[in-house]
Amino acid sequence: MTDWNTVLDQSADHCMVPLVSRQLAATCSDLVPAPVREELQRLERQAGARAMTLTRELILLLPAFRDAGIPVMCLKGPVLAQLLYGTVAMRDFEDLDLLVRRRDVARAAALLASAGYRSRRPLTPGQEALLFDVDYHRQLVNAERGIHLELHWAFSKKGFDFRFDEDWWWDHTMVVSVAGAEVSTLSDEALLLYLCVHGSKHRWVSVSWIADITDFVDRFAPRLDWPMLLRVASNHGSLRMLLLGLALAEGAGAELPDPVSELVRADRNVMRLASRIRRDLFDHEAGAPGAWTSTLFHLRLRPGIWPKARYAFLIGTTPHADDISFVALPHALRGLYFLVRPLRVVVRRWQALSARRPALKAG
Amino acid sequence: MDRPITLDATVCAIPDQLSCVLSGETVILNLKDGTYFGLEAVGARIWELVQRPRTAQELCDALVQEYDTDPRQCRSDLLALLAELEAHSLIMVTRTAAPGRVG
Repeated sequence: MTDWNTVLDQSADHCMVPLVSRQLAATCSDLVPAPVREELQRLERQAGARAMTLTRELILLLPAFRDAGIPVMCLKGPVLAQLLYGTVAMRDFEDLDLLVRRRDVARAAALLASAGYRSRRPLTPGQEALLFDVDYHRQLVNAERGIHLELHWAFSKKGFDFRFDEDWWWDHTMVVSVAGAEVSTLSDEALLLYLCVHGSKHRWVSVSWIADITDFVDRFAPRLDWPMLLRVASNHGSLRMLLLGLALAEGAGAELPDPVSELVRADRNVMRLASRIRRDLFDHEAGAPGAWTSTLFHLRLRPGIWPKARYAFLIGTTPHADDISFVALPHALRGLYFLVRPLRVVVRRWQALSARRPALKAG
Repeated sequence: MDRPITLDATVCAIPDQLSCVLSGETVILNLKDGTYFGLEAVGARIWELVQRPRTAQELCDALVQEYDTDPRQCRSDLLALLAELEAHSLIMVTRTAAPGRVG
């Protein structure tokens, strides 16, 4: 007996509604109860309308970047949907991710500000400067249009210890036609590596990220330069992240070239991590991974004692974006941000506890 | 106000639009003004056909053949839909020159 409520909930949670809806309609629509079919269609229309609105926003923003001489790439979102499925409506995404070069961030932020985008969290110039140093993106929102946008200049925060060679990524771009507009994005191998790093960074909590890589491999595997990809991943300190993404994709049915598949299966840590991720994907009770679980996961992604030690040192000493926006410390005292984190956690826990307890003061 | 669309007019979808099939319905987004327009079944097929310039007569002929429908009804429904698409600025219509006055 199929628990259709769980199918609906999990499809929405994992941003898989368009794919699930289409697949069920194509293969076993007569087995899907009418109310479930109608709800899936409603969710599909909602996700599709959101995708179209965000795509329009992207297309409206691009000429301003071009006129300002700011090279910009779209990561994931409508471009990845167009690439994988020929339509923006087959991926469920909730924001736009734009990548610019580090030197262009200030001008790009000013351009977006003139288009109505503001930081989600108001920050002082000192906080902004520190975030620029240790973080990798700014989260912006256009409140009038209800559109969220992330302006990236790298792929991970400093503490993540991913060697971001900016020139290499900007040397590996391609143009995809989206609604008649030419949109730049990462090309082939670079895109696959980025998707694997992104998924690993967030501990693969969304099935949609695995679906992205599975469908990417299915479509483009024959034309990829696999030796180059493996070499670059290794040079960027992200080989295990790449192999983990590929292991998850292979588990979902993607066909990897034999030498790559053998490499994936030979890494027992990768296979163990993949197994654990698959086990936790639909475990509601597991909830979002806590800080300690995430740290352990990322330590296991780094082979060898030295990479693990370096990661542990960086993650422990690099201020987190949440720490920086929690309190504005003078530049000379930025080293004290590592003390802010435990204080922030205590304050947040206290606030959460206070909110849960009804006022006991009366009487 | 534009003259009614006749069968010898050439129609074509505007370039600044994005259309997707959502749950069997073709949804068109006008990129310039952000308005949405929905089409189902035959309307969706017409939208597919106008992605390149065609005369209304060509559209009618294609529909009559595909749907085995009455040509007069098809003509009437088609021209009504094309007028609606034009009113929503989703298609470009090139009308043939009006016959000159004699006198």
